[in-house]
Amino acid sequence: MNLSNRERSIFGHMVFETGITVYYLWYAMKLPVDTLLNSKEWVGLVISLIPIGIVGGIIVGAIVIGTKSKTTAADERDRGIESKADGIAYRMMIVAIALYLGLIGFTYGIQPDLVPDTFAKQWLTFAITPLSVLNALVIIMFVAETTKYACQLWFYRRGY
Amino acid sequence: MAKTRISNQIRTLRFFSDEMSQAALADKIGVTRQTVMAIEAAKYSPSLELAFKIAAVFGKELGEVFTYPKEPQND
Repeated sequence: MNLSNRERSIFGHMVFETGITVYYLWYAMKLPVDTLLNSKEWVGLVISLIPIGIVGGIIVGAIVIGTKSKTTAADERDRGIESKADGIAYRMMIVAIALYLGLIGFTYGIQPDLVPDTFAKQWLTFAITPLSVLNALVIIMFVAETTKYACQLWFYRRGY
Repeated sequence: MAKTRISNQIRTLRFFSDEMSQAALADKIGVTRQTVMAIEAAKYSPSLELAFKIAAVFGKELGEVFTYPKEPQND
C-alpha cells in the first residue's frame, strides 16, 4: 500500500500508542486491584514508561519520516480531516465513559436486586479502586485515540 | 465515500500550463500534493478561497475550473 507521509505518520503514532498502552495495561492489570497510585509498584511502572516512550517515539519518528527531511505543514484538508476525526473520537469517549458510569451504577445500585447469584453477577461485580478507575480511563482514552487515527486514515483513503 | 458532485478541469489545465506538476500547483496554492490529488479526483471539495486560488493560478474564472451539475428546476 502506498501511504503518504501524513498517513505513515498517523499509522506510526497509532502503533506507538498501542504499544505503550498494551505495555502499561499488561503490567497494571497484574498489580493487586487495591494498589494505591502512590505505591512503589505503580509509580515504578509509570517511571518505566518514560524512557520507553522517549526511545519508542524517536524510533517511530525515524521510521515514519525515513529519509525525507521535508515535512509539509497541515493544510485545510488535513485540518478538516483531523477535526472530523476528533469529533468522532470525542463522541466515542463520551459514550464509553457513560457506559462505564452506567456499569458502576448497575453493579453497585440496581444489579444486586435484579441479578441472582449467577455468573453474570460474579462477572459484573468488580472493585472500584483508584487503580481500576484509572485503568478503565486509560482503556477509554486508548479506544478514543485509536478511533481518531482510524478515522483519519479512512478519510485520507476514501475521501473527505 | 462517494465522490463530490463538483467536477473540475484541473488536470486539463495543468496539461496546458506546460504540464505543470501536481507538486508545483500545490506549492503555488499552499497545500500538499495529496490535497491537489484529492481535489483532482473529486474526493475533496476545496474551500471557496482555495478554489479561487486554483483558478487564479491558471488565469481562469472559477466557473471555468469547477462545475456543479444543475438541479432540475421545479417551476
